[in-house]
Amino acid sequence: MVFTLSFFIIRAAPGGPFDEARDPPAEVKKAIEARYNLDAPLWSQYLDQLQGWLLLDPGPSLRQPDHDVASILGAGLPISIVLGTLALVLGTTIGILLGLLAALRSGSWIDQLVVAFASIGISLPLYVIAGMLVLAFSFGLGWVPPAGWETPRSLILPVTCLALAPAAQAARLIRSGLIEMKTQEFARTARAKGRGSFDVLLRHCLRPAMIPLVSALGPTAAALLTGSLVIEQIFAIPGVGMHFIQGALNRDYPLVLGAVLLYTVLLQLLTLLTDVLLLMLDPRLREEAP
Amino acid sequence: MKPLVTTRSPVPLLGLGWLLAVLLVSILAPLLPISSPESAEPSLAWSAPDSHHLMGTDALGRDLFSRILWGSRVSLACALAGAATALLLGVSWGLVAGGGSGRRDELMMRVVDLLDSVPLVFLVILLASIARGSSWEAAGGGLGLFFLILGIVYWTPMARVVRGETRSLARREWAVAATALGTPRNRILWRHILPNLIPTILVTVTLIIPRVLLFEAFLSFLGLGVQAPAVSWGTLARDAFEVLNPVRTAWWMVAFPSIALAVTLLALNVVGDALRNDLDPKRQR
Amino acid sequence: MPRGRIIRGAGSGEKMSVRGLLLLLSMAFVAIWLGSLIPDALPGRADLVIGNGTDPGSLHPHRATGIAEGRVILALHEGLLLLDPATLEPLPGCAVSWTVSADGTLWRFQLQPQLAWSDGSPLDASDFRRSWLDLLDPTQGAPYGDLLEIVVGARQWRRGQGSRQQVQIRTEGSNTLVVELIHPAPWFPYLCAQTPLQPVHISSRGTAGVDVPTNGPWKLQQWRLRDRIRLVPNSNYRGPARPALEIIDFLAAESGNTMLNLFVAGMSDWAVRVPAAAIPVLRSDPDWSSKWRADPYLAISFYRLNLERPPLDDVAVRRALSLSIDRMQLCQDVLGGDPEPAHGFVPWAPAAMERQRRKLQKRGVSTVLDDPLPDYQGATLTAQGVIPSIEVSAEQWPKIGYDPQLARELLAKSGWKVPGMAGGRSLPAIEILLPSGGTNTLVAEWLQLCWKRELGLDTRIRAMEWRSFLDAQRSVDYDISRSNWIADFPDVATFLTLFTSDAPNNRTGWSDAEYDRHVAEALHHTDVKQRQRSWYLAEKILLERGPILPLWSMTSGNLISQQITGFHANPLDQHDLRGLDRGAP
Repeated sequence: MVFTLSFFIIRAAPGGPFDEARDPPAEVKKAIEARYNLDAPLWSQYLDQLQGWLLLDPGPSLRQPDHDVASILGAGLPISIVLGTLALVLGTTIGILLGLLAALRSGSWIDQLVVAFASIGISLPLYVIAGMLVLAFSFGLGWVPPAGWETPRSLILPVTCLALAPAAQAARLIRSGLIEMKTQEFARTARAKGRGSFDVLLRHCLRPAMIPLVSALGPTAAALLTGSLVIEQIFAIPGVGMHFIQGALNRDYPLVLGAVLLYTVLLQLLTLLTDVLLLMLDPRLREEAP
Repeated sequence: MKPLVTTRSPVPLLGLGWLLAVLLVSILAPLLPISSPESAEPSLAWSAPDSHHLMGTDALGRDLFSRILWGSRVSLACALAGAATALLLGVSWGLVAGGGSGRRDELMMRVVDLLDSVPLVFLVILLASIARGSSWEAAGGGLGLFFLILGIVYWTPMARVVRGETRSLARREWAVAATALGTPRNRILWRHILPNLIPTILVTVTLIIPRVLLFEAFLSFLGLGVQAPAVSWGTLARDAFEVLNPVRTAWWMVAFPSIALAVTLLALNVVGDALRNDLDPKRQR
Repeated sequence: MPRGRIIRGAGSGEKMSVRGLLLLLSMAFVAIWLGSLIPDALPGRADLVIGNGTDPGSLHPHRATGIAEGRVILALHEGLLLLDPATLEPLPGCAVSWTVSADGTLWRFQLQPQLAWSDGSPLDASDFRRSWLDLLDPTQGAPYGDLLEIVVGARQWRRGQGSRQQVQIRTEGSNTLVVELIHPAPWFPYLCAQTPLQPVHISSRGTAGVDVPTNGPWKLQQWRLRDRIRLVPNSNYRGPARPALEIIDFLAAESGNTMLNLFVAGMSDWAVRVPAAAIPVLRSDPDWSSKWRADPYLAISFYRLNLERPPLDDVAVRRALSLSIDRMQLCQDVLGGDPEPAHGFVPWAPAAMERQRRKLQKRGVSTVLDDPLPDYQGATLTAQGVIPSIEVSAEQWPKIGYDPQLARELLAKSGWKVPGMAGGRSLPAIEILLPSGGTNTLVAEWLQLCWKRELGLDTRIRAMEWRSFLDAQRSVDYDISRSNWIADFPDVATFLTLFTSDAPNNRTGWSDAEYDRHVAEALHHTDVKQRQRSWYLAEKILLERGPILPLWSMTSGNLISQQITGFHANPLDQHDLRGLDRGAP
């Protein structure tokens, strides 16, 4: 039933995920248009490339003739996925915990601290955070390597930096969600039945409060991808973002195009995932559907 | 419109003060008694902040304080010009769509939907990399093109908001009456509906400006934005990161441009929040 | 009805278990998948990690151009000869012995029998012949194909007048290679040890790709772009010296600063391309100075000028650009003080060597290299004109070519507008093309300010990634472009043949018949005195009217961990990795 429903929603949603994910030519066209409008007399190349992309064989990189685009991105993808997933999971978990804490003691100094953390975490540019962390933990204390991708210790700083924004986002959403839920009738009823306020928060309120968080997952993941561009540069991590930016800097168009397509597919998949998760969390969506 | 002074907390006022100060200083930068951001004194390279160089100097001995002030000109110009581009594009698109027939509306909003479903940031980086090498940039149009690029990313939310408001305003009695009286539709749109949209537009602009500012810093940091010898807060941070090592740590090169950007962003957000509280048409109703 | 009921209701019952199972399954799947990605993504530490600078553009010996590439290629291949890491004396490699005829033109190499590629297939003299002919092949467009133009028949073939068969690289039996040269080239053994002359497997002919057999002590295990190249021992290697260290990583990063950070964090054992800003500290701080090696390096850093673009077609502009640079200041302010100013195209003039010796002695470095080119007197461009370098003392050396006033006068005389003088056309803006990365940009910015101040000249900086930069430079698509020239062998010829009209690495559009004539004469003289005289005349013309701005004589910059033993300084800055080992910490 869940499966049918998610399928239904995906099909019904205007401009839904599968349209895009299954239909890269529109993307290719757009990107290539952007390229060839400025660089006109190459239309025959366009057709060749289109064919190559459809067959998932985009050909060699313009600047690294020993490598082809697919293998470059293929080598970068697992790295970016490890980085991004860890950051997302870590960030969201910490954010939820912080949000819970803040909601439990709403109005206290803990709450205010969490609110301050959230607003700073959301508005600060990533490189500022990365710079401070590198100065403090790599150069100052020497605990973690300042760059590179070699041992699990290399993961610590980049993941932390990248996790900050999702954590701030999650903390803010969960906190406001929980505070709103706390005053709702069902929560009061539960408390009246003798349950502790923490218990109520955890058992009854957390789940509905998660809904805005999950629906923000798409944008959060998109922000994470954007953030990984900066983080991979700063920490010299050979992920997709590194190839993308270096490719853009030296105008390696096939590589850049490949990365853009990859990002599109990734984002659409994430949107799909979000929809499925939402469906699991929010029964109202399911009951309206048929 | 209520004046901002009604806000109880002093924080937005502080933010506004900071923004005005930055704006003033950046406009007046050429007149201020500071050294030129490009005058290098290599013998003074890498000096830590002192009374001569309030924020220290960079690898070429250029005064960081003056570079940050001059950088603010470019950064703010980018933010404002980017927001203006988004404003122009978004408002006209939204108005035309919202005020048009059902079919036109749907078509135009489909374009917006399509753009929103695409990872625009990545396409823009692609665009920026193309722009970097084009003859256009060599001819000196680099910064202008960059403004346009910044605007492109952020015009869709504006278009959406404006279109929504336009549709609801067009259904009001006075608009219906004006139509019945035979006033041309365009005249109604631009003369009557647009002025009523101003609070909404302002609110959206306050949301867009910090995002464009951040995006400029992001692109410049990656080397795809403002190009030397022009300085922006993003390029200053990039310069700092290129020499950030424990052997010779120039913390001031990282710290000050970052603080400038961070404080400005915070101020923009705080002021934006306050403005939204005062202006948001929904809260007024 | 409170909403809580609905929510709780939905969360219980049979749906819950199906959903829970699904969720659990998918989470487990994701966890397993992530777990499998991590070890692959994180490679772990190698026995020797070299912070190698930029990513190689290619590992094909014929296509590689940079030193970063050379370092990897020389570990992957073994040429006819090797160079002694300390003295640079040619040693047997694939060849066990070699002889040269009395007139210095006929070279005969006796190869080791039973040589093999890393896939086990046999390698013999014909592989060398084929590789060298491919290097020359005009249709292959190898950037350093001109290195072998000294072979009889090669130049004709490359100019479209001969054929592959007429090139005098012959095999006698399967183990003897005979090469006939057009003029005596005492440096030929050095050449045989260099990157372009390494044997290339037939499968890599004309194609790209990294999955190609090699014949060196190591073979390629993985090349992850913008991260690292990992080499592992080649079990089919039967050369004279087996490597002490097994797994070698070459780290790649655009930024030298990253290289430094990785070294400091202990993640690399040897870093090159350290940012100049750190060098003063590396030199003076006792923690670092024992790890920092900066020795005279047979290499020159200079700017190429595109003579096809105004105003650089005006010789007065070129002279003025050069005269307005205080190179000593540049070396101290931007380069960290190790390099010495260059006033000619052949680096390390006697006065510069003398100054370097004093600097190193002051630092307490005991091993000071000898003059790498002792026979050559050198040409120095002074404000008054070109004079022999040996006439300049160490004290005069720093400022000898610096006269901004004269620069302005020259410009004014040529009809250009200069600060402080009336009239003239204003100089158009000029673009400086350079590869991205710390020092290059700093130098360019320094020069940008200097030219603005002294000459009122506006310049723009255009930074590109190494590979794109090379493409642009090769197609002479620039106004001014940063360049380094690193000696292929310790002989003046490696520098002064660079700008002949037909030299493929000229890359400037400059051509001068008189210069060409002096170069040709120098190459054919057998008498050392006459030879050096011709070289001097060639360099004089190059400096007077040529397309270059010499900037500084380079120093090697190796930051090397004290755990690594067997590392020797030499003027080619080439270090056979076989000799390196990990000593007691």
